[in-house]
Amino acid sequence: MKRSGRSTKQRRERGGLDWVKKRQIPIITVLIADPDKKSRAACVRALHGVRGVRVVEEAATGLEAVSATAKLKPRVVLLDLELSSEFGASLISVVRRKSARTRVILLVGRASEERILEALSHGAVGCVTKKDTERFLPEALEAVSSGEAWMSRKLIPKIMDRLADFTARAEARE
Amino acid sequence: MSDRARVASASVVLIASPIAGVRAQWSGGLQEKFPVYEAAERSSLDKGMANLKPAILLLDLALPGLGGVEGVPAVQRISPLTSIILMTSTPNDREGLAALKVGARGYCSHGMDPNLLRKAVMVVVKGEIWVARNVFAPLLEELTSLTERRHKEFPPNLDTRLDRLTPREREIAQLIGGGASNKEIAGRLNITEATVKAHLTAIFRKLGLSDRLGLALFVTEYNRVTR
Repeated sequence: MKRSGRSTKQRRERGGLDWVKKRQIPIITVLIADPDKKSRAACVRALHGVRGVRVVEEAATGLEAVSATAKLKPRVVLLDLELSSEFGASLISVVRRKSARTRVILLVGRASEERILEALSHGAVGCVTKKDTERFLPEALEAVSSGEAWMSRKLIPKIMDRLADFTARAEARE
Repeated sequence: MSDRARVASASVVLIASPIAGVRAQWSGGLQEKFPVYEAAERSSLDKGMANLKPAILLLDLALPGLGGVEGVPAVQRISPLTSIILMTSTPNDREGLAALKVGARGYCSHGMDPNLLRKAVMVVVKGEIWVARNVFAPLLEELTSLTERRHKEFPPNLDTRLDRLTPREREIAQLIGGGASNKEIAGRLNITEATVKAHLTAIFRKLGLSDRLGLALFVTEYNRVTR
């Protein structure tokens, strides 16, 4: 499922000079990790032709995702939420341990706020629903690779609840 | 009438800033949608909170006598159901995060476009929180670091899907990963083979696996990847 060969070829076909110029700007490398072929294809479509973004690999299982991350150190991993629970939400911690510069964006099919929060607690910094990939994925990539987070503001009250819960537990222990 | 019903039916907005021009600017975008009241100093703010019990308070952090973000809880206590939106002339991520932590439902810039401010107020009335997008990242950092700290203090036995298993089941899963048969496991753990089978059924169900080969692969791959 290696993709870099093909995209290099595509670039060359688009014309030599342009290709050289494009290599100058920092490229956001992307790994797509989703068991569903259609979801992966939707991401590829959403990112096709987006300047400065290159899909370097696709993975269909959690293990593939982890080993590809360790090998390629992509800037961003697009990780299916269901897949992230293959190892508990801590697949995300494993990915982050393998490559510190990598940022994880969750791809969410059916809404399941509890699991999204779990994944965010383990270090995901973005969250895009699958039906919105075409619209928001390029923006989300741009945001997380420049150090911002990308998610719905609707999640914020839930996150505040979690933080308050941590504080309450810490106080209860004292 | 209960406090909550009174707040919900009125959706009164109270604006508190020492600067008349700022109050006028904020109320400009809101007046057509909400009944708006103004307070220019701390004492009239407290009175307004007590008497009006507004749905929303737009509170200028520069209001004399407030004491900045740390002074917010005291204002909140006067009318616990009021959603407070803090307004600042110098927004920054850390203060935004601190604002949320003291219970503010919004954190906005003084010079915010009136239409956007109206949208923010409407969003907060609905129970959501309005902060600039650049507060999201420090917010998540905090969540992640607290989660990780807790995991360090109370380490989960195995940092994985194997979490769902009981300690006994985990032990059995690891033995299967090492290639042991049911009989060997039974002998080793001093339990009957029937008990081993019962544990295995539970393990398969919890991990979503169908057979022992799948489990053996899962365990060995897991051990390889996470080490």
